Amino acid sequence: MAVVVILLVVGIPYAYFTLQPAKPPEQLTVFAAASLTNVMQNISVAFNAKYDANITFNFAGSGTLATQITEGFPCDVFLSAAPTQMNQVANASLLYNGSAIFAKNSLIVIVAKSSASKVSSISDLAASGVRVELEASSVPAGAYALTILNNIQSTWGNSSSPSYVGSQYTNFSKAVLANVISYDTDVESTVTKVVTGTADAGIVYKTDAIAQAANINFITIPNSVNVMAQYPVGIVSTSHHLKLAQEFSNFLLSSQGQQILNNFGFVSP
Amino acid sequence: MNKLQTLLVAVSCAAFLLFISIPVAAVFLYVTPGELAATVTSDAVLTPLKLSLLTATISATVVLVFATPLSYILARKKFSGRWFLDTLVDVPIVLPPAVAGLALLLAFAPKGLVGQYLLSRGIVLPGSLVAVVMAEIFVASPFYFRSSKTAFEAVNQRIIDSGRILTKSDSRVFLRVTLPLAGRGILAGFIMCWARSLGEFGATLLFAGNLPGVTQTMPLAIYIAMESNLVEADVLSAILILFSFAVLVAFKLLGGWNRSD
Amino acid sequence: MISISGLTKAFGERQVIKDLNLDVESGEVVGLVGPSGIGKSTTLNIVAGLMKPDSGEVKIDGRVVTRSGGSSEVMVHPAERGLGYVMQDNALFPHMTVVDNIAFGLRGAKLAPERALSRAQEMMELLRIDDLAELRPGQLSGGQQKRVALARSLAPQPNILLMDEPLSSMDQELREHLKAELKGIFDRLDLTVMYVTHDNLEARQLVDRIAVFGSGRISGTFFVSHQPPAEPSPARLPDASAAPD
Repeated sequence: MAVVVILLVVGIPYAYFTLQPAKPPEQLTVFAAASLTNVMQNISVAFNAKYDANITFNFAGSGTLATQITEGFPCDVFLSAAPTQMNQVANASLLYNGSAIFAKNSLIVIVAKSSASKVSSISDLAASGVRVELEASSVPAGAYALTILNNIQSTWGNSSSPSYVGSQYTNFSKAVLANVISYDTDVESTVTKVVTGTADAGIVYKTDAIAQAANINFITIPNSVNVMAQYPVGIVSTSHHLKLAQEFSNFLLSSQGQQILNNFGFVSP
Repeated sequence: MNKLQTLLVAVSCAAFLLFISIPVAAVFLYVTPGELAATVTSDAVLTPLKLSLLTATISATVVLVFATPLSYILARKKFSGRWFLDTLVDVPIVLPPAVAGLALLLAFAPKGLVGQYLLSRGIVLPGSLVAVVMAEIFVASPFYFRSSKTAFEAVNQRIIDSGRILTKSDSRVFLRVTLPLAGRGILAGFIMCWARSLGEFGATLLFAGNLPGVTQTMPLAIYIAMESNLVEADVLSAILILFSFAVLVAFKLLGGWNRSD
Repeated sequence: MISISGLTKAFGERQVIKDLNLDVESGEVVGLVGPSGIGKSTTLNIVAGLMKPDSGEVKIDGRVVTRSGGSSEVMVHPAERGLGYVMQDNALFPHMTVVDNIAFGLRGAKLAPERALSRAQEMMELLRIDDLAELRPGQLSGGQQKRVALARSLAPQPNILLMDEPLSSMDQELREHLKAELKGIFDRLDLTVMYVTHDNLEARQLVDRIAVFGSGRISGTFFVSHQPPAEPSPARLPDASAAPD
């Protein structure tokens, strides 16, 4: 019993103090959509080195981040996965000087390696017995996926459209939605389900597909029917590090920042 | 019991145990021991692990100290409106953690009900360790209440009465007689509260944020790791399972030491 | 020493105590006799301050310790009434040793630790349980537990002792043993005792005065001419007790 008490008395302060971040030259708190996790690690390494700064990230769904900001959660820069959530912050009069698009992301179809023979082209998504995974429409990626399905149906499946391909696409959207086994609230779950073979295929951001390239196959979605997700960056007006925040925003838009983004599959604005 | 009954019991036991163990085993089998060993001492694992263990312990201890008087009152004192308080302390259990997180945000974030006053005193809770502890306490305290209340209810009134005749210090009766007799239930409640705090995700994410080194507990780290690296997410999960198991066993042994018979 | 007047107590619909009046002189042993379950224990609980009556007053040594139903309510804490209470089921602290049980009422502000220990030692010797000091209640026999309960109540040197059916759960031989011991202790410590029992004979052997409990009140009291309990002998059967008159 005494041993336990001693462990607690020593362990708690120890853990607490070793968790204090090293004294940084200047701290910057960046709220970023979860889909930016990978690329942001690289961006922050480059930025921290160049500006002698230390970025702390808060990764979550864009909607969650926007709500946190409007409720007063301390934040310097907000990177959203869609303009809608940035507008939410703008409407609360919390943006310093508007926002700018710093990256674009297209969507792609990912296929479980074990289902390669079942799904080898876009039209296979509508085939019977195929298990499709999408995100909920309340999440940007989910809304975009629905748009793409509609695009395909109304151009490739529409006989009066110059891009008409064939009647197999006439009820494409309906057929694919009938194959959806569940809707996730985040892209990570969708990717995981396809990687593990729970679903045969899913529609996610190209950047997520590239991150998992070794574990999945993909099918490109032609630009004509694809959606370009726009990622805005905004500086929060209550920030105590406005100058550094501005520098970060500029960095994202600079050629060095863009190069890193492109490496991860993002498209320059 | 005849042979058929024995068989049925064995089958239901086996089925349930398998259901629990197979997913757990799957986590461990997904990575090679080499991958596990390589990652286990990295900062990416140690930082969220330390944070998780630290906050869970603080949360459970705070609950133990502050919830015990209320638990005792709800268990043994009759007063009008008791049913309301009793239900109130149970509410966090039925709330989805994300709802709990939103509620905390609306109450304590700088724009919130109470948060405004905190802000005027320079106190900002979201993004801090305190916020993590608050989220965990909110979500895990009902587990402590249930167990400790039952334990307090079970203490024989005559024994308490005897104590009251022998000493006029009611706090002494509580500390030396009632509390030890309710000890088992209190310890069990503490353990449950600790375990639930360790696994807390939704409320923490929303109210405390996902800030590595500051508020990113193990469940949050796993959530983020899934985005980029399933192997890393799996290693984190395996380590969390190992640690939780070890600490739960330790607590139970401790409880055995306290046995009063 | 103890003065009870106008006591009433109801549990829901049941009026358990209707109008109880009783005076107990200092040093007197009074038996509260009547069938089980009619309110005798409740009376003790009210005198001890563990229960509040609906109306009535209890005075100890001239001082009002309980008053209910009137203009000014009084409820003195049980531990400040100078009494000891041996309950029917003993209610020992199961998680403490015998010596800690006995010393419980002595610790705290009252007594320095060494004095508390030696006092507990005295008690254990008085009740012949000194070899049980480090045992737990769960390891003791019924008779031993009763002795520990008694030692615990007497350790703080109360003026008053309340006893609720102390011998009811015991076999004949043990009962005879304990009767003799109790009688000796009552006399030696000059205690004021309220002794509840449903057994007439037992009462006649131990008390100075019997208060007959019936229909929620004391229907009458009468003095007992002493019949000290004989030394226990297996061949002896209890005589069918004559009704009090």
